[in-house]
Amino acid sequence: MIEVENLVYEYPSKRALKGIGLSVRPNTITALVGPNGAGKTTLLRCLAALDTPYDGTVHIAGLNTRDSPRAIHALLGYLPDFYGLYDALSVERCLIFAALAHGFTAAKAKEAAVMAAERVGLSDRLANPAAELSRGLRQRLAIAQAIVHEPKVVLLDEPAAGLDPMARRDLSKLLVSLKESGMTLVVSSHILSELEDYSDEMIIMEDGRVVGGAPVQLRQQQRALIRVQLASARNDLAALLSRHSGVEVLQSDNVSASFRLLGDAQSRVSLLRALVAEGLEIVSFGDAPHQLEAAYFAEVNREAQVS
Amino acid sequence: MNAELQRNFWLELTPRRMTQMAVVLALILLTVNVTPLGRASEFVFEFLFYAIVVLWGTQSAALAVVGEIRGRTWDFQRLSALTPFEMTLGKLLGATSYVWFGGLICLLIILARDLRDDPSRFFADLFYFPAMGLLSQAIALFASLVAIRRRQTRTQFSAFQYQAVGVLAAYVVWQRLRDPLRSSDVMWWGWTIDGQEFHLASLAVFLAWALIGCYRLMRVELQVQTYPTVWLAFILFMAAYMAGFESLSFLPQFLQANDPLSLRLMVPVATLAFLTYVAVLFEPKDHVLYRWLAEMLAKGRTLAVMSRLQCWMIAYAAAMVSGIAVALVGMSGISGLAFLTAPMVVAGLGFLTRDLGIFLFFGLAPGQKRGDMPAIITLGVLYLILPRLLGAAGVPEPAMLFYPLPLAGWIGAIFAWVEAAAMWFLVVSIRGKQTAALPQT
Repeated sequence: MIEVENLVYEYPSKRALKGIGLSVRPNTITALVGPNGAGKTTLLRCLAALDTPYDGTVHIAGLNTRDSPRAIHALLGYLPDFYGLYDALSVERCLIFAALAHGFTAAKAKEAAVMAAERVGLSDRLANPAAELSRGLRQRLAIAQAIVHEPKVVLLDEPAAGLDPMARRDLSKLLVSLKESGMTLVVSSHILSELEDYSDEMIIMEDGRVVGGAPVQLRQQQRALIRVQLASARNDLAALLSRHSGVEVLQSDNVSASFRLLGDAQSRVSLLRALVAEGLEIVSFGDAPHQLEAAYFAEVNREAQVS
Repeated sequence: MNAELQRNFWLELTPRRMTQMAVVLALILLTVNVTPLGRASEFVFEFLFYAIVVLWGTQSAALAVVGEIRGRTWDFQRLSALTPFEMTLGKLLGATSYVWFGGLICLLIILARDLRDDPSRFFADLFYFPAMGLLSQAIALFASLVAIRRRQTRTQFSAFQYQAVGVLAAYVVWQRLRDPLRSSDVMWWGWTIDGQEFHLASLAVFLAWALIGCYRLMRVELQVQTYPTVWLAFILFMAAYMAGFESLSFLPQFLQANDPLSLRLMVPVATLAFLTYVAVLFEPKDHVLYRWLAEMLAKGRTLAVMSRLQCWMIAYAAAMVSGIAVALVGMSGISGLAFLTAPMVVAGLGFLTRDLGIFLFFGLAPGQKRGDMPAIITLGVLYLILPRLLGAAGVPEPAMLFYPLPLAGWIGAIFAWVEAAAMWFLVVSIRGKQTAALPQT
């Protein structure tokens, strides 16, 4: 759905994107992660055909952002990191305007506005002025404006910033429901835990580059991410784990390790038995709580070792 | 209906605001009719029209896009399916819809007065007031769209500047059409035209150019690929328009009386040079763009280059071509040319080239955030202070170092181009350093 080749973007004082190449599959949620200043926002703006890159190409659904920027604008929704709303308008009018601005007729616009409001849980606030909404509800309204025209691609820049835990959970559900309705989402954040619930793939950026060079597959059916914790330290923990087939150690120290395991539940049982038999004093063995974080650090560590 | 127009109507034309405006204007009308104001009463609603449509309207127009940027809603609008034409119309007429509501009430009262007192003014006023108001607002919107390219939208003062440009345009129109001292006939390309008719026609033409300018800048803002053909057409129109005048009040009388042929040949070149200065002053000095243009040029991608050329580059090329043509005419020995000489034109082009270098040098200098002001000061020193200082120090003919003068001959032209070459050497050095400082991909 999104193909990027050798993307270069320059500000007068800085090269913000240094030859980015990536691909995003349709109907997925891709997490765009990296530290502040890595170039995530610049990349999203180039993907949205809002800024013209210095070099390289971006194709969205087969359209080139240089040749067909307006066609691309029509088929995507974008929520910037700092967005504004028309505070004096009611929620309903904000959404009707968004639909009209995407070429809907007046009747269809009203219909689309009601549907978008329902999708984000704002049906009971249609008459409220946008200025009166809480931060979480404003976020929902901004997302509703971005999806009112049923875009194929949705780009969200730091969508959960400043939201409380309840609102974050609702946002996760909303994003998953958008994916299930056929949209392709790219969500940027520098807070990994918030992306974990809904991301299928992860692109790691650092200093204007994609670290590792390709999207990292998450939630692989056959490769569970497991964390093991020991009661007493073992210097050979990583080596011990690596000896077993299907195990890929991502991170380890003397008392704990995170690793991927190829196979089903029976494979886990067998591995646990084997580790106990090898004398490890295991106090916990189960799904890693922060899978995305572990994958991120594994990828960053791998990159550091390569360089 | 145009979505942007609709949204602005929702915000601007609320029943309460419309009632307030109508009631206030009705009270003023009542006051004017019951108070002995004499002849002043005739002009109260003209004054109100200027206050509402020009002063207030230019502010609304200047903030139409700038307000969206400040409110962080502009990206959302840029991503809409609205065409550049719809967006321009929606911004220009939508953001000013409330002031037009008040302006139209004033206009109706002005037209009623015309019918009562002087019906011959009716049609002129019917065109003059709305066209002048729309022109001032379009110019304010245009100025704000230019400023967006320069990323100068954050302060209240910036919006005031764009408003001031619109008000200035309205003042020029008012001066041409309402000042009784300027009602004489106009000699233009050999025709003698009634002054009122000529200036009303000019108003219509410049209104069209202002609207086209807004539309073209909106295309750029919405990322639609835009070639500089319309700008080229505009500068050529301006050259032809200015060359048509038999007399120009700002030029020396002896020249206008004694050497009309030189005047007719030089005015288009001077107009193109002036537009080059205006463009280079207001366009962003973007070394990333200049490097990109150089790379694309080296790769032979002419269309890509054309799509991102800056306006000053087009105007400069046009000034050079027309200047060289005029210099060749000057060298051909044609009779009737007293003032114009080829070396003077070549020197003029050299000084123009040097001055562009000065703007770019200060605009591209590292850490230089207000590049234009040092450039303007430098030009002030070069054109106003140094000639006098050198003259006072006893240097013979110092002006030829700084002005294109008819008596300077080819020496003056050589001085001009040496200065231009030195300036551009500095510009290229800066660009080279900045390119070298960038990390490689």
